[in-house]
Amino acid sequence: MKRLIYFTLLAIFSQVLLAQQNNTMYFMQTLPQNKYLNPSYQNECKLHVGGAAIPVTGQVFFPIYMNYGNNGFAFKDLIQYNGDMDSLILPGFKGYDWDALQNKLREVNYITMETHINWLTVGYKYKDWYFGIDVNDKVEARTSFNKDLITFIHEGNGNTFLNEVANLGDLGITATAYTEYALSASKKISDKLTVGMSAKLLFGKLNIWTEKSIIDVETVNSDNYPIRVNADMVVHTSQPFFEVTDMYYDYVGDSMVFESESYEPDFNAVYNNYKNFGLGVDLGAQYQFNDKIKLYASLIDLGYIKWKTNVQTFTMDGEYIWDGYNFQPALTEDEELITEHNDSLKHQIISIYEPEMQQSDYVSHLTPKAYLGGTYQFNDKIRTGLLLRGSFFQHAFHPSITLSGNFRLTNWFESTVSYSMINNSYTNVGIGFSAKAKWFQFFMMTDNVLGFIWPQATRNVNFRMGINLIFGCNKQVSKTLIN
Amino acid sequence: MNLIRKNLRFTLKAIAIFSLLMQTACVKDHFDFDKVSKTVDYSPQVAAALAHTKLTARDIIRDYDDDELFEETADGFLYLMYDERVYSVRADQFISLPDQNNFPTMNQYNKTTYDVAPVVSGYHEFPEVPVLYDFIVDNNEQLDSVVFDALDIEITVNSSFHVEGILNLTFPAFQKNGQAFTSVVYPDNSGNYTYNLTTHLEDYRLIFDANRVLVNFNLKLIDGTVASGEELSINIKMKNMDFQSIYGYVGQHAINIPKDTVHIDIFDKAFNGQVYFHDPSLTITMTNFLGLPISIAFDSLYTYSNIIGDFNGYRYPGSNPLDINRPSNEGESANTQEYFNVQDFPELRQIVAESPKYVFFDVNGIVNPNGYVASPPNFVNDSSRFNVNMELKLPLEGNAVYSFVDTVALDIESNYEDIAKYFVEAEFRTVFDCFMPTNAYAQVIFTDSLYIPIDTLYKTTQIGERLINSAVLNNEGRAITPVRTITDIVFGNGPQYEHDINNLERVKYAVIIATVQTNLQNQVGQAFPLVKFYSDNYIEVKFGLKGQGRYQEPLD
Repeated sequence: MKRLIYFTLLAIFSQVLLAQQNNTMYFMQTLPQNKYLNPSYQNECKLHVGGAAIPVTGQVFFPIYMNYGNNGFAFKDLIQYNGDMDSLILPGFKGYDWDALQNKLREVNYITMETHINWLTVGYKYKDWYFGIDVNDKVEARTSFNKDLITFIHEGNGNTFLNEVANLGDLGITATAYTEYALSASKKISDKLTVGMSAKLLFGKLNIWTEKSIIDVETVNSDNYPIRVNADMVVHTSQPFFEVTDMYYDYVGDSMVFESESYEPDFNAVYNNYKNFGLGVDLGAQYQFNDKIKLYASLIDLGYIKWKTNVQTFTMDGEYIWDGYNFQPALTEDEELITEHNDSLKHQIISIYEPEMQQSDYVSHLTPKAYLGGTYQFNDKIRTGLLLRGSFFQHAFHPSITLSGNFRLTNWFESTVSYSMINNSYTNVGIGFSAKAKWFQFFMMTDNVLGFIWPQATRNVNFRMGINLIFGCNKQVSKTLIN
Repeated sequence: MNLIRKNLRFTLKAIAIFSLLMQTACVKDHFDFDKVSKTVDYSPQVAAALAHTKLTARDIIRDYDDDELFEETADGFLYLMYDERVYSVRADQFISLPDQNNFPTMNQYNKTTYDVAPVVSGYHEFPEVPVLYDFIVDNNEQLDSVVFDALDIEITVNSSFHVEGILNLTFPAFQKNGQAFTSVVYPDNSGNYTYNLTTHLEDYRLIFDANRVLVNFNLKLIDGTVASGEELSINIKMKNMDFQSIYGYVGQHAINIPKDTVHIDIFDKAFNGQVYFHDPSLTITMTNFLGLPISIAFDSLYTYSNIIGDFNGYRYPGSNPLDINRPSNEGESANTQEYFNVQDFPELRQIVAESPKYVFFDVNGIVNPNGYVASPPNFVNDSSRFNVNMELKLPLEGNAVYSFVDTVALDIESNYEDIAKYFVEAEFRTVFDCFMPTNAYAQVIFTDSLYIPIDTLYKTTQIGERLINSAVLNNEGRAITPVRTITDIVFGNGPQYEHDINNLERVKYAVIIATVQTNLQNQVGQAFPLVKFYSDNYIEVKFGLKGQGRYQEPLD
């Protein structure tokens, strides 16, 4: 059994970079964890307890949520298998099909990764109220790049980008690790309406945030190919691993110099750092439209963290046009003038972008998500649902749609099958289940089971698992089934 | 509990099966990193500006010469000025004062001449003897006075007297700060006394008495008198005379004016063509700081042209010989100017049209050409000069077809292997934004070490293939709108390209042949014989490169 668990976890973790937003869970009514997506949810059971902090169950079925999403390309698009050559082809190597990659890319490509570890979840039902306490560690990372960047790397600036602006901006990394303490409450306002809210204290641990990333490169074809480079970047960091102590242009070495000091991080200190404080809130509501139709709406992860420890902010803003080396001083054959001109040129290029480094507090925001959905109850055992999801980041709205079928064939087993259109990918078939035995409720789900079968072709995979201890729900479930 | 275990087993197995599906052949191929391709193949196209500059007419000409050649009128119309001092002579280079070694010996102190000497207070004192020495000159100089920077006076006294004496020599007209030069000698009673003294003098003025120098002698004898046959004689010499100024008449002197040239370096590299300057002019300015008359005789005016490869002589168009004005007062100068334009010197256009690299004259001169003239007297200073300047003024209005050639050493061989290996194609672009009234054609010929052509770039022999197109001109021949000309030369790696990089391995030289031609049409296409250059004219030169490289190599 242990070997099986070990093997299974290994298999899961080896694929963990292929996941998505867990929309499948949204309509799984037996799961207390769906309050993370809509705080108005009230579990059928009187009490539930779960999380990694719970002895035995918390360690055997480690409650974890992992998510990988890529709105542009799959693994096989990036690292291509060429059957004729029987080779894996990396970009820039012989036989690589750049067109195949570029055809897959979106204008702006995002790769997102999330890992949530649920240390504690407690829920208690009292009359029309449902209260909850949750402690989660969350790591959320996102990197992005513009399609033009790949075209630029592949073609250089001398083809598509002649007289066209190459947008090399949208390039950046945003990664945040924080601990979330949540107190939630849900109340049935009426027979039809239930609302809920989760208030969260956030304590940031690590952060890198590309607040602004604009890099435009334009090569003019109607002239001697002058190159205009416009850059406007702001990057914040709060991390204990290294500190940039100085930043300057070395005219002798002809390069930008970042002087830094590295530190041996004390992970205990990092984890117990409560100085980067933030607040967050989740809002949700459910409305029973009629006997068959129920509507859902939620807005989660509204919040911010103010970063105060080990903070650094790097900025750069300017526009430079390289129209060639001005050789007029060379005509004078005056060595002193030529040297001065060359030095001035170097200084000009650097100073025009005004690179600066500051050590001041900053505020980063969580990535808010909005859900809007509805279910249609065919009968006691079968429901279907439609969920629209959107997240907001990098000044854009990123939607997805999930159709689901929820089946509750017995009082101890609920399963769901979903189909999602996520990140411009249309081959996302999700499955999930929760199985109850006595006081134990085990659950596992993914939005894209195909990602585990054909990982090379998938762009979105996620996975959530865990175990809850549930109390006071048998009677209620039976009643529901009888009804 | 069994139920939990059952469900758990089922679930874990299901997950494990999903994961194992990855290990199917299809999936495995995509993750078998032992099969990763190891041959890099990267062929980006890169375009970038290489260099640029904006050249005004001033910048272009300064490329050849450091002098400030341009002058401009209030509206910016440009003149090219070649001003050269072709001759300069200082007075002391042709006037000198000879050493006076032959003043006669003064030997009047003996018993025969002064037998009875008056006795004054125990002294036997001879009467003062004034002597006028003739100052010998070489060129009939009539000297009124000379101020010396320096000179040496040598006095020699020989005495056979057996009595001691005191001899005073006074030069009353040889003064410094109002004090006459004197010298005292004390002959002894040995009977064979000899005295020799050279005195170095500076800043003394000598006033001549009709080219003669006055010296007064006074001799006193102490307690005794002169016996028969005894004599005291005095010799005076004036040597190493370095004058500061001379007044009077300095005589006739020839001025040997060596041939010097005006270097018109814009024509240095000319090898073919014709330049028409509409209104060139030549000015010869002679500046005389010497207070004496000078006459200059011009023999001929010569030019040397690279295009002709020989000298050409022209008659001198002005007065010949030419009397040079002299200044009225010391410290002043007088100019004598000879100005020639195309009206009084029509050959001037021809001279300029030959693209002369050098212009020079053959000149002889003489000072005081009419001999002695009493008034006004000459005055010369040792630093006074006589200068001859020649100024060629070329107003930049005209037309030209003008070619030049240059050879640049190239060595592609050392880098050839890398170029041929990584180079697919490169387009070398030149962009000229021309706000000048000129078109330009050019050829660049790559040759081997024996100057045998290998490849030729810019075969711009047709109007449509100009490397530089003139700005649009108004009816006065002035540029009003810049015109851009872009020329691309594509080098490729293979025989299918007109310019095959593989041919360039043997290149050792690039011979650049360029022709500049003034625009012959105005903006409506009318024939236009004359163009004008202004200070706001420019050519913006830009170079760019668009290339495709290819890196295809296995990784180690």
